[in-house]
Amino acid sequence: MSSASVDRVSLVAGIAFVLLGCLLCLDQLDLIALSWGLVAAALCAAAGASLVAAGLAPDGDDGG
Amino acid sequence: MADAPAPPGKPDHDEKLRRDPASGIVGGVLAGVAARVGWEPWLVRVLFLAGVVVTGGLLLAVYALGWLLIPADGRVGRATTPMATPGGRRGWQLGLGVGLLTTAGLLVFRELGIWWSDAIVWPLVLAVTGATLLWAQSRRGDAGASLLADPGRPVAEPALAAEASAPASSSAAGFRDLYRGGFGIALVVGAALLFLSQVDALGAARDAAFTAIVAIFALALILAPFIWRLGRNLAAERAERIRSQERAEMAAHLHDSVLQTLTLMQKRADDPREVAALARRQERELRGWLTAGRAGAGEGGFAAALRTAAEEVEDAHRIKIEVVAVGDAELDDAALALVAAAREALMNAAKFAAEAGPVSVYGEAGPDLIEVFVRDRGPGFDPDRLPEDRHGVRESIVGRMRRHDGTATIVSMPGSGTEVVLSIERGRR
Repeated sequence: MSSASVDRVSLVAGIAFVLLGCLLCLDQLDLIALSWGLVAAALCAAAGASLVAAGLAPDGDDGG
Repeated sequence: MADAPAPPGKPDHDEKLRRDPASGIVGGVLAGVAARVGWEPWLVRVLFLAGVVVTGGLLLAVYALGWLLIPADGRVGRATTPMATPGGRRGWQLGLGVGLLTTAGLLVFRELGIWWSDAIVWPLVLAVTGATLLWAQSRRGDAGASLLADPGRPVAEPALAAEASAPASSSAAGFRDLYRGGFGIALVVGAALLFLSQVDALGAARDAAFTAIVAIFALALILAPFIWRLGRNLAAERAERIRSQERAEMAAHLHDSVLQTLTLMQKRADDPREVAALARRQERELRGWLTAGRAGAGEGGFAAALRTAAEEVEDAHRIKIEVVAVGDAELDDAALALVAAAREALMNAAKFAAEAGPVSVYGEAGPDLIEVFVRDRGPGFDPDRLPEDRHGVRESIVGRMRRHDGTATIVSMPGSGTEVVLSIERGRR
């Protein structure tokens, strides 16, 4: 895939949810202790980053 | 929330607060504030970060509010790329995204213990969100668009151009506005109720006053944008009325002076010297009016102006006019309008009743009222059947007096002459 065809919205959303998954994995492995508040914050941040990326994307780059 | 340094050559001060997405990292709010107050951007960012910690994250909500409400400037940048139609899907995505990011930041601060109180922060966030929706709706139609209306449109771009050319979508837009406004009101009311519930004030009669104060506060948040817009509409309407009045005054003056002179010049086309004299006099009068703004202002009093007007009509039309002026008054706007209307009545009498004997004009400046009576013995006419193209009577006499809060009464019957009665209060304007 060339750089010109990168879907920035999908890229941002993907990175956000990969980070969220990593966070939850670390919690399951008892390497960190996540409270419900922090989980909610991480979910909000991931969804918010995806939406902001979609909102700021130029026409034709809205992630489909 | 930090923003990049401003580029060289960028003006330090702006007249209005604008977001600067080209210089900012997130929304350009801090870069815009720095440009507005003339501070270094890094200083504003440091103060903001300190404020975020001190307020337990509440400044994040303020930042989000600024991002959503403050319009972006017109420079090309990352966030000024062309976006979807105003108020469309992109605006909602961005608004919801900013809201979720703000909520995430607040939750982190809460978990870290840098927190005021659930009873204060969450109702405040809800109230801010509701007020943001209401303000964004009230700003629809302004050229300086907010992020919610159109995230990336430059300020100078007409906000309503697309909407104005698409009347078919007005119904859908109306429902969207209603939904958005209703949602905003619900959020503000919900925030007020949540706050009252948290402080246990809902069921306690002793706290009725406190409940009322919070309710009034919520109501003020709801109504503020509408009242603000109402004020703007009233100001625009007043400006339009003033412009319309100015146009009418100018049209009346041109009718009384230039058009009348052109008519005379046509009548006397066989006398080149007379035509040249008329043209010179009209040129002087028009130059004086353009320079001074109004003819004859400040030159003597009402009585002198009335005599001068009568002499001008006598000279132009070669008729006899008997002038009687009793008392005198300052030649203010009201008196000038009265003299101009009387001059037009004299012109009409000269044109249509010159053969029937002298025209008489009687002016009286009383303590409260200035009156002028113009009489002729001409063929007369029916004022109720005045042709539409008679701008002299309709605008230069009746319209002019009405615009200056005076009155003009025309008493005339076919075959019995005409009397024009003009009156206006002294010092009215």
